Amino acid sequence: MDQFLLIALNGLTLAAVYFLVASGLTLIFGLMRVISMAHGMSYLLGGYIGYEIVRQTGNWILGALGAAIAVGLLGLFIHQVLIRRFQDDDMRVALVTLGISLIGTDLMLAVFGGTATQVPIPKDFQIGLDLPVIGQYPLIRLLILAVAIVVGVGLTLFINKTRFGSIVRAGVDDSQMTSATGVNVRLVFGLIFLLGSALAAFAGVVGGTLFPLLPGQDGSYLLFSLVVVIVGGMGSVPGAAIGAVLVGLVSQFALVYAPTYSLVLTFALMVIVLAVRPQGILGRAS
Amino acid sequence: MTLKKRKGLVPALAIGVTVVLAATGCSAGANGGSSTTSGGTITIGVLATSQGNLAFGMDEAKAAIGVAMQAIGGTVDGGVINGKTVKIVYAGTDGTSGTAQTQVKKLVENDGVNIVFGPVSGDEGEAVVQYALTVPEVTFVNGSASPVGMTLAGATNFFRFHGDSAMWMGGLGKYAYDVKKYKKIYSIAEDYSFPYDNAGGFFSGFCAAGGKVSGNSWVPVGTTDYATVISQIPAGTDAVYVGLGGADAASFLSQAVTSGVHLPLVGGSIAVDTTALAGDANIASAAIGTITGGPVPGAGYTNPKWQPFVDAYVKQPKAFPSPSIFSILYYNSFESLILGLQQSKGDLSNKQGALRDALGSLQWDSPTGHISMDKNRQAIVDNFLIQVVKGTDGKLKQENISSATGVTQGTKVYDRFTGCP
Repeated sequence: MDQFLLIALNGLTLAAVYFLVASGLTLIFGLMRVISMAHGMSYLLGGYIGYEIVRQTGNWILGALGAAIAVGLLGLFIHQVLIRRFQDDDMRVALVTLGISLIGTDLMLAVFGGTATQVPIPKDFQIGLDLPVIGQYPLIRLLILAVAIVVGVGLTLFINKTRFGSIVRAGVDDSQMTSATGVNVRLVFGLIFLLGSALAAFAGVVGGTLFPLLPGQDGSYLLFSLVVVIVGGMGSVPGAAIGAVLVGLVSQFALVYAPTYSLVLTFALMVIVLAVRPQGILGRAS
Repeated sequence: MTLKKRKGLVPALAIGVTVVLAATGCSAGANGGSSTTSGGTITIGVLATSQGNLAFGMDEAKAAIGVAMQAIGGTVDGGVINGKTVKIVYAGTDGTSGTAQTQVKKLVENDGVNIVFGPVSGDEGEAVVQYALTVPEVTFVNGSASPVGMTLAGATNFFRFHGDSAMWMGGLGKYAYDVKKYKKIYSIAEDYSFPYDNAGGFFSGFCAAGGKVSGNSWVPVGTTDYATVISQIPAGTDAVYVGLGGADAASFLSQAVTSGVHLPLVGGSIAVDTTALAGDANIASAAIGTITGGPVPGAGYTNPKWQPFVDAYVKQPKAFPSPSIFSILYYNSFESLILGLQQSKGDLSNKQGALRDALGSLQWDSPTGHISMDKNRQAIVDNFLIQVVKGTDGKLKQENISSATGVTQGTKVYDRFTGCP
């Protein structure tokens, strides 16, 4: 039983990282319906920027903030300059962001090399915490779970309860009508792209603290966050959280009971959900 | 919700994802190159990993080739051997057999190379050997891929100038049981051909000495989260065998620290290699005391050719503080190829017969000991048992425990196994 709980907790803490990456994508892809293939690149770039800042200053929070701001601004630039004019042309957007992603990851390979690095954390956080039933558990994983919950709740409130959130939802549903009411839709979409990219970069610093940063992680995180967003339902933050938990639990339990098939099972999850509920678990039927 | 312009959403997504997956193996190292099968030019196509968890492979390959080519007045892009111009082109892979196959075909069929040099990783090696069987006019010299079966596949145009991964573990199992007194070992290894052979080599020796296996976890390559795998290690286990490499090994070691694993480790040949030790993660307390076996000598190795090689290596762009297993194997293999080309005077006529005769009977003293060839075009080499220690400067380094000379290949090809192999 404690074994089962331990695996479940591992799945939840892994899901926290997946959720943080996917929360940005659920804004950009799920809500705005812009297919950004550069999301994985934002994750990796954020991780590397955070890594450099933390190494220079020794301050993890500064690293996370710096990465989020830098990559957020890059996202704003990409949206305003490269994507905005043909935002509704999905194929073009996918190809442009794909190009950005390929160029970006190759540049990162040139600058940061192909060796795995990890964002350093203070020694005080590298300890195990005594939990009831489970026993020793790494403190850092629990902290990341807490961070993900805070981000998730904050984002849900932001989208559903604030005026800005309602403008975003209105802009996505009918951008011309929203414009007609005097809202600068271009600015609103730009800000969402900024926020989505910043979240990916923040996730990069969090993920880069727990797992290695290296070329190739961009592709796997893009893929995992697409699975999370699609399983959870496009544009739904609670849906992304549920999707992330499912993906995290499946991959951890599979690693124990069917290690060879753990990747297959993760994608099988997506296939099953889409077969039963094509709009995703919390998605709205269109 | 109005989605009238959105018909392209699903196809665009599908195409995008497909291209991302395809491109991860193909986005780097496309140097191009023209077909030059005749005349005075010899074209060598190099395969190395530029993506994935062994993404540093290309840098290591270039560092190794740089050392070998600079010694004869050339560069990583080519030079002159016996009056013949040698041109070197590179193709990057992501360490999987799929991209290795794509890229080796590109080198042979588009770039028209005469000789293929590489690849890095085990599954890639098996794909390349299978391809070598279909193009007998091209000579293949292996880079660092080390599954046992590669030189047993009957490809007479395929040469390997280093040991296979089972040979690298020779003697370590007995050492772990007799000297370290490990009676029960838990095995965590990546799920592909190289760790099968590497772990097979270790556990066959360990079990023969009387040791027991308390469990096996075969994890997919690229696994970064080891918390659950670590929790599977049963009580009463004396040590953990870590058959992981590159980023996977670094992840495991750092998570072993945060999860409070206090068991000693036995490393596969690339687990506590310089690439893992060079990372920034806090892995010292997990890595110190780890014993491992492989073709890389540790500190205290006295071969007079070793230090000059290390000195030349560290001057290369993007070199690690000390040569990794990959640069050493790529160097020994590429230098063997140069020697073969010199001995055959760069003569590629008659289906490269002179070159192949020279390669098949080559003998030379490499930085890591004497290399000679057996009848399967597989090298007979020296092998080292090493231990990770903390140096006086506080950095982790590898120290020699013992070495074996003239290690020859066994004929057992290992597969995924449970318990003892």
